[in-house]
Amino acid sequence: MTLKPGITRLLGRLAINPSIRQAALAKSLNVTRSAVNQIWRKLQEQHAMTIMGNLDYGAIGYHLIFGWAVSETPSQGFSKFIEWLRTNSFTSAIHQSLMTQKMDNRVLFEALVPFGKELESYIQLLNAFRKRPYNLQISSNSASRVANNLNLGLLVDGSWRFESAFRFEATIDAAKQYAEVLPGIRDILQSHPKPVPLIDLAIAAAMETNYRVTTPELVFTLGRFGLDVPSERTLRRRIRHIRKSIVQPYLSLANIGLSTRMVLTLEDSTTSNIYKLLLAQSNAFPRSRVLTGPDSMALIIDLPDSTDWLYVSNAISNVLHQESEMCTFIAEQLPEKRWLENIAIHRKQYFPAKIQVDTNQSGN
Amino acid sequence: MKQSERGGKQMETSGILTQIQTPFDDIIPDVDDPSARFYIDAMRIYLGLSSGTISFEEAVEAVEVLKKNPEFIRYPTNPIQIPVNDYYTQKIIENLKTLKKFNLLTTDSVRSAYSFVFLQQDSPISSVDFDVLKSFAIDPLSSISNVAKNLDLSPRTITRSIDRLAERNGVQYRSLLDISAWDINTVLLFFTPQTVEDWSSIEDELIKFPLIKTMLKTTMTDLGYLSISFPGGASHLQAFLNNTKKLSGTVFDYMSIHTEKSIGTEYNLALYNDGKWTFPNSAKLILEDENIQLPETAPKHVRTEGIRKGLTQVDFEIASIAKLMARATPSEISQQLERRNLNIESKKVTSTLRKLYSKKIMEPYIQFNLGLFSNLCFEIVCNSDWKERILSVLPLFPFTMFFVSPRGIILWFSLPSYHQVEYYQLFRSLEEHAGVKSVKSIMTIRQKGSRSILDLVDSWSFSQGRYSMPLSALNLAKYVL
Repeated sequence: MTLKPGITRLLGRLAINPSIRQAALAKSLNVTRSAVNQIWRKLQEQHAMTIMGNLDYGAIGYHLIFGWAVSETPSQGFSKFIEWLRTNSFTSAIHQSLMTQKMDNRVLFEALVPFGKELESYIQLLNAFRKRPYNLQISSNSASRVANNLNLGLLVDGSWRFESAFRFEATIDAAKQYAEVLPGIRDILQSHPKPVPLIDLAIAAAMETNYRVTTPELVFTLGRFGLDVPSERTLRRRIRHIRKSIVQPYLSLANIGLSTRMVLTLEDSTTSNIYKLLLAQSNAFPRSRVLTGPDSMALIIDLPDSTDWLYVSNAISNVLHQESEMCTFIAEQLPEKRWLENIAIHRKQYFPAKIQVDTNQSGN
Repeated sequence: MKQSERGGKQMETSGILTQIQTPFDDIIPDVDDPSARFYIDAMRIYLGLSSGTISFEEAVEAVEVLKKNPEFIRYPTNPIQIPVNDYYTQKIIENLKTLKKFNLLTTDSVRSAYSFVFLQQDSPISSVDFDVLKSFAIDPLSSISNVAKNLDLSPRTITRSIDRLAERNGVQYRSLLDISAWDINTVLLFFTPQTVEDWSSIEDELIKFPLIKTMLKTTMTDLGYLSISFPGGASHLQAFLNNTKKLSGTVFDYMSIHTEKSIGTEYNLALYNDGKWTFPNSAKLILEDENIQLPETAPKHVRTEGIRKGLTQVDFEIASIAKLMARATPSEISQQLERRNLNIESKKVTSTLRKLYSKKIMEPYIQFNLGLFSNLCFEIVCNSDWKERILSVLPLFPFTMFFVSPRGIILWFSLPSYHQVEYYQLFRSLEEHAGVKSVKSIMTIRQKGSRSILDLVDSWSFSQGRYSMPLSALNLAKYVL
């Protein structure tokens, strides 16, 4: 993969400020808007470049549940659990292990579950898999914060300068001593879920996959939710409100030489140094998605093609020295993923009356 | 006579490590912890050799002191066996600077600084060198003139090729050795610790057990293993097994002991093309389908046949050296023995080696890198049919070593990192077959290695053609309970 310096500079600016408009971008790079537009289109075509939205799901009535299941052997119970994840309408992502550091079988899952009775049912189902006849070890948490990091500083002359050898381990080892004061990362806090107008849910869901969603695109989404299109003024007001309080933009790119996906799961409290260390270090990887809960964390890390995940895993294990319950595994490159829009619409099909009640309660 | 009493002069070695000076002493940290010091000393020896501030003989003496450090069991490295080149020297300096920059002086960080120097260094191989390598792969002891004749090249070209292969592609010539010929047992003990939290302190005690050849236990997986050798034939073996039972359920949650029945190795350079390895799909088919007929190839191996008449202590000493340098000349082996104050003429070396190879007590093989930097170990508990099936496919893999026991088979694969998942999934799936009870695995990036068997036998006695030691010395449990 080769990216010319001009393109890399543009991407660098976008990664830092994903909400920047093309005109402002052109000004900061000292080029014409037309040049920026040309590069933008090229990036969209060749690298599926999108400004996505990192959501506060709580603010639109959903819990982001994340967790993982472990099985020593590929048991029937484990297979049934994965099958359940696939068919469950709230599942938003499944990362199944190809090979784990502990030589067992693991699956990391994410789910978007509405608050209230549906959350209770979901948790009951998870609990059922912990008991006989499945007897699976399942950790699960409601996410308190979510981040999507892209460290383009590691992309130099079209190649990823990610050092997976000793220096990487030494950097983490050294940082361990200063875990208390390590800087945080750019993430979004998950509020306590509450009912919201359906239109806000629909707009947020559209922005999850396209932060810069246009009015015509939104009209289509609102139609899928069975909503009438409000006046343009109202719609713009709602969009501004959502962008300000519920969505945080981030840059998404494909085909950039990061085809090795490693998942790291950690069970430890947020006050522990290991927790703080890994959170801060998540930025050191080329790309990572970080899900944090009160006593666990999951990092979904994308590494350059040439990286041996084992070295990275080994380095982290050496530093953590089994002080926390940590495991890494190599996952399928293309996880099974469902966005909020599909999950919410599916729910509406089964509980249309319920959703209408929510709308009436909150009013608009 | 005790092994340690052979040879006259006592070597004055204790101070030698501190006497080594290098041009890089300002970046070499002072560490108090003996385990951390082990790795610093190993780096110091290498830097001394590469900068010429110590002679090879001084380096040999220094390594003898290094080996006395218990950390050697965890990481049996020998800096004088590593090719001296600019690449490794610069990597050591770079990693020492990183240690200094971040003020990292723990054993773990220093160990990583050392081990990462020697990882993943390989060079492209020319077609001439590859042809030479393939020739020696078939017959590691082939003469240079024979290889030259077969490849239609000059002997000088072959010699240069051998040097390049050693320096750039990690090619070494070794031999399998059946040490049971001198009544020595070898046992592999696989384990998972009962409690992970206490493991570090248990490990510190465990490595003091003098009969351990090698230990592998990483922070990555719970499973580890010990390789243990001791004399005394069947009676001592039974005593060891009885004594070690106490560790199951106390120190070890899982414990599985394998006694050696045969050991071997195989490799398949036909899979290597243009810098890349092809996955051995034919092996996969044979392992997945029990109806497929087994190939008739058998891997290189030596059987554990037990004590052989007519073998002497001198034969053992010669074999111990030749095992690590199969292509060394008799005079080179004689010189190595002389460094240990064992005066054995090269004529005797020649006749011993002829005897040992003809009786199949030794079997030569080659080792090489060629991008095979990942290592996977599988402990497979299975029946005889499955042992046979697995053995039959090993010649199809790039590089394997194996250990057969009555309980099953242990495999060590060297593989390219891009095939890790395929190997792992292929062998884990063997558990689905009725004849395979369990498959457990360990993945490691560590270099392979073990204590020299000549060091191991140091405190043993030799009499009437066999080594011996008191039964009380077999008590592994007393170190950890």
